[in-house]
Amino acid sequence: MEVKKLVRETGVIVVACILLGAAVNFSLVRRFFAGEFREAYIDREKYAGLRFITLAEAGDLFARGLAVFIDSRMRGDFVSGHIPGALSLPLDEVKDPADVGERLKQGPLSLSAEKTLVVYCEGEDCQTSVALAKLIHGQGFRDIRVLMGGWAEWRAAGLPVEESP
Amino acid sequence: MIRSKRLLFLFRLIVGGVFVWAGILKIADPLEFAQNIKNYHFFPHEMIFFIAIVLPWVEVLSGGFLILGIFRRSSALIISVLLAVFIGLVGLALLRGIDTSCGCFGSFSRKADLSLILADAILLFFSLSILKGQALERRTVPAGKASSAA
Repeated sequence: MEVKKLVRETGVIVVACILLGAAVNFSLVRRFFAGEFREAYIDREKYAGLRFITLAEAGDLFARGLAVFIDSRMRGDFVSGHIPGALSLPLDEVKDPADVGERLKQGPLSLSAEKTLVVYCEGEDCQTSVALAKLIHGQGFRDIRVLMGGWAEWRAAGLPVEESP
Repeated sequence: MIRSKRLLFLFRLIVGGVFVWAGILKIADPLEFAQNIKNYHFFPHEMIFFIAIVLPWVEVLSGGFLILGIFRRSSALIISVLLAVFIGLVGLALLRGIDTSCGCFGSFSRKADLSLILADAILLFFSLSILKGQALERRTVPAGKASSAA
């Protein structure tokens, strides 16, 4: 009897939460079913200019020299191999988001906020590229693309790679 | 087992307060929370969205009910299950070498590490004490009534 009551009450709470969550986030639910948030849980309205690209698009940008590539993996991984000319900005070394902006704008590359940036991490499952892209967006950059397949896909495709000394 | 009603009330305030606070911060930005869950590499992508919009409300409601004393046992049960799952998830993340923020308190989240497991274990002890204490109270009250009637 007591167990039945416990199960019933628990069910009431859970159902109430499902209804509340769906009602309060109705617009998000609608956008989810319309196909948004498939690559990452990023609000396109909040992060305008941040988008996800395929290997083909990244390869094209690289070949035409239209973008600066940013590697969000750990320093050791970058040294072992990276996309030629990429800038190493390991997410685990970022203490203050303002440092990221300063490094990009005032570093040797002196990038303008309009420059196209392609951020990548290890592979499809890694999330540091998305997190770093959000930080960069917060620093005023407005054309940030995240390479979905990351370094693993780039290397597997036999595209140019570079090793740091 | 803890039988002191005052102590159990204090546990309810602590556990309930932590869960209400954690839930409110997540409700404020469900997509950020979804991204935090994704970082654990445990749940399928589509499932994460639904967890992110429902779980914060489970935390707020069960935490609030625990403080107010409504549905006390079921709230303590839900919170205990959630804490056990959180401990398991953080433990798994550590074993797999995943370095991520716990996502427990929105933008105030800390790193998912051993100290977080310890903090969750303390909260789990509190919530289980509430659950057991409440069960004991329910069993002893009718007995007391019976003896006074006799």
